[in-house]
Amino acid sequence: MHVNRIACHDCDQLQLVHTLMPGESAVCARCGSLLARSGRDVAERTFAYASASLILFIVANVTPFMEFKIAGRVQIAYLSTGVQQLWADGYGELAVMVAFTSILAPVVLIGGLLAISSAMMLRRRPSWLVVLTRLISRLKVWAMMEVFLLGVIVSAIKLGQMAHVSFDVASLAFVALILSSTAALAAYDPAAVWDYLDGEDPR
Amino acid sequence: MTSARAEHLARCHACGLATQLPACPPGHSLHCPRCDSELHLRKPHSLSRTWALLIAAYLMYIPANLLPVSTIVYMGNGEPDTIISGVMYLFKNGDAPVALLLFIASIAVPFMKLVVLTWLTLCVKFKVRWRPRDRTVIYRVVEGIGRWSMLDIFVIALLVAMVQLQALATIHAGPGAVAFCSVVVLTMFAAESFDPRLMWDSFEES
Repeated sequence: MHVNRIACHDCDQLQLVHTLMPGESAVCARCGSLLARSGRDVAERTFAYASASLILFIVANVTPFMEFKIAGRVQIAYLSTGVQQLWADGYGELAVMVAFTSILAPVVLIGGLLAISSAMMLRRRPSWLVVLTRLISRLKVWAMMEVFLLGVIVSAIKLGQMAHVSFDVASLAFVALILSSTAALAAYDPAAVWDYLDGEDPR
Repeated sequence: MTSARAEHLARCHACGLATQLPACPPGHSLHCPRCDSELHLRKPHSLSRTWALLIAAYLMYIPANLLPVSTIVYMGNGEPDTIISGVMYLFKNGDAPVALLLFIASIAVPFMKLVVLTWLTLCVKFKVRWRPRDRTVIYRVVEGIGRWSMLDIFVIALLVAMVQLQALATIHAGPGAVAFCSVVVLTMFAAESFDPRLMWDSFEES
């Protein structure tokens, strides 16, 4: 059985971990942090969820998100309307942060997962795979779609006191997008990509 | 039980590979053989970076709470709201669950994050040995929940998007929102620059 030497990410404890069976995970003996896990069909499952996410992302961004009716007037908002309005109001910093965390980082994350899993399924090791895998690990915390969804709920409740708020196609797509992208991230395992880049067959 | 550092092994920040370092440091930087990231035994200048980001976050915390984050203009009358007055308003108007949610995300979490990161950094500085395992868990929690503080910023963005009914009612962002957003981002970077392994190092130095 193959044995790997792993230094704990949280406490630097050096440990020997044998090759994990699918579904197994290893935790640090000293601090309890996750050392490694082994999923089944990492590339295939990541690809499936990430491609569903990409379609849902497009739907969520090009169709109307919410409708707001007050005194006979209807206001329609798209996912990106807030960004445009903040920009127009002179709050460029906020517009950039909202655009980055709710649109840009999620789409790069989804596209990146799709590219990485495709490369693994096609048994290719292109030179950009290393850079992309590193990028995705760093980007993960900045993709805040689920926080954004909570913001949608809160703002709908706030506006509900003033007027009638209804949700459009894009909000349904957005909820499904959060479920599928969460599933994609759960299926994805960067350690499996690094093992694959080391020359192992994809798990 | 030894640490990787004691064996001169550096764990790559990006891919996790443990690489043997030469006994005496060479003049140039070392790179991971697998992913080419720069190798360090610990995150470089972890404590001073964390301090710098925390101090900046404390400074921005003041305008974030004093300046209005949004202004509702209704029938020509502007009503600026700070983070605290916005939460108070929701409490008074019977939306207690939403008020509680915003209180947690916008007031409790950023404050806790600043205090806890300061405490963790001080513990490392003074080589405190109190419950390293619990402190590691606390660090992971603080690192994980920080992003939820963006909630208020998203709410403002959505309100601004929805309520643009010129004469009747409009909502505008306020300067406090920029300061608040920078607190969230600065504390996220501060959590990232803190190296949890430093909490365990004091156990090996004696």
